[in-house]
Amino acid sequence: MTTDTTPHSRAYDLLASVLSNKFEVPAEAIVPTATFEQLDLDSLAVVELFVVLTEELGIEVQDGEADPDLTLAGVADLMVEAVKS
Amino acid sequence: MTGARPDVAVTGIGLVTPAGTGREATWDGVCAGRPTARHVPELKGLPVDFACLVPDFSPRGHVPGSRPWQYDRFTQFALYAALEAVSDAGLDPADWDADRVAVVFGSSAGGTGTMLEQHRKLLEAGTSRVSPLLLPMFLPNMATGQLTIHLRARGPALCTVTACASGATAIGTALQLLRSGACDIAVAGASDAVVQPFWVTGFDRMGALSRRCDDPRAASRPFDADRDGFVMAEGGAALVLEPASAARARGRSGYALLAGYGASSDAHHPVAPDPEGKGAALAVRRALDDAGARPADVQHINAHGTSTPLNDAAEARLIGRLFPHRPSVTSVKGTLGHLLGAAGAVEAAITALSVAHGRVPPVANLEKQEGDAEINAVTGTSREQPVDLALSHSFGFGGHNAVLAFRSCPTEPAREPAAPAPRASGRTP
Repeated sequence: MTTDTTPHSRAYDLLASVLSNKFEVPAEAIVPTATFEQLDLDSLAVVELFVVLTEELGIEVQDGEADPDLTLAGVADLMVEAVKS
Repeated sequence: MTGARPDVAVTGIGLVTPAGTGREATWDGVCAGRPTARHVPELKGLPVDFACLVPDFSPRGHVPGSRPWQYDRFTQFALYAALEAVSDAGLDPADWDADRVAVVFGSSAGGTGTMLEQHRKLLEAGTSRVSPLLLPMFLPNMATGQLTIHLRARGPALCTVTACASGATAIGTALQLLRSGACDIAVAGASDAVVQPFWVTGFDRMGALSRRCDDPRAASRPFDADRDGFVMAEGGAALVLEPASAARARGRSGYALLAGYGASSDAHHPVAPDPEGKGAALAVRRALDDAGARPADVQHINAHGTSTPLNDAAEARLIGRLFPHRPSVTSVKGTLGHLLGAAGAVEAAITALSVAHGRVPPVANLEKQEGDAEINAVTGTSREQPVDLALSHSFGFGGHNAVLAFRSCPTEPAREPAAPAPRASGRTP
């Protein structure tokens, strides 16, 4: 937990796991540059994703910044920020 | 005006019930009369700790192309049943005129499993833990709405809520839509998934449920003298309805004709049946009139038969009074339990299958009837008999009565020039 990359990669792995297991997104589609639109997740599904991430992490991950162009790498950043704050 | 009204055929059936996922599994289960009630871990410690659950239902495997996490279980059942029915009818939503396809689907309660879970989260963790899918998963009309999307159906879409008559009301309403010219195809049925402590407690507090916790398989025993209440169940059923002429043009005759629908209200009591059965009798007469039939024509009745003392006594008296010629009677609730809003749709499907196969499933657990209202119930094993006209009864809390009449399909006219047909066909096309 001393470098910038470890929390990010851990967050990304959790995100990828949730997308695959709960949201049934095909594994091959889960890449850091993918957007929600590319994953065929509508606005309600995106809010649902943030609810699930909040439950998984035990702290609130804000969904206010979840714009259509947000990438999965960007979501991992929001998760890391939530843990820090 | 009989010439102006199209005959409507049941050309597809989909079923997901405690006897299994799929039409064949349910038909085999009810014909075998194998009770499906069992102890349910989630109900442990309650005064009633058993029910009939759909075994091994995997939405991922059974609802292709969908994302089941977006749907409450009642919608998953609706999707499965409707997709099976449409496939069974030999129809492909990619090919049909979407504007002319109606969906009429009932439910007594909608996605209350989702509602209760999200309410718990609201109270325990606050608003940010509440799913944005709460309403799309909970609203009772959402099974209908999701079906229109998956089936690409842009015709009239309705959700019927008449408690335990919801499924029969949906199918009867679909019949009326087809006859009115509002659609060319209707997918109609119902689903429910409320085997939860909250609902079980509610029904038990009314005294409606069997408390035979030491022997769940013997608990649902319609028309038996020792019955003590109904057994909760879950599942769904769908029928594809279309004008018989359109079906024939596609080379399909269908399982049966949906020949009549009768609806009425008891106007008597919120939940107790009118002991004289006036409202129920009115629905029966209306269904028969609608089908152009007389009581004496009825060969079989798929009864509501819940296994509650009040319903079965009133229904047995009704059957005895209206049908002194003693048609065969069954209630599949002995096998499946009471699927609540879905029950009428499941039983309509079973009635259509009885017409098609000339076979009536037994009333599971019926060993001894009450002496003063004995009906010609099928017991033990299924009975083979011709069924040219059958009724399916559904009665719901609120005093809703819905009765469907099914006729056998006319013998198909020969497609190829052939030798003269034998004269003794028994049916007129």
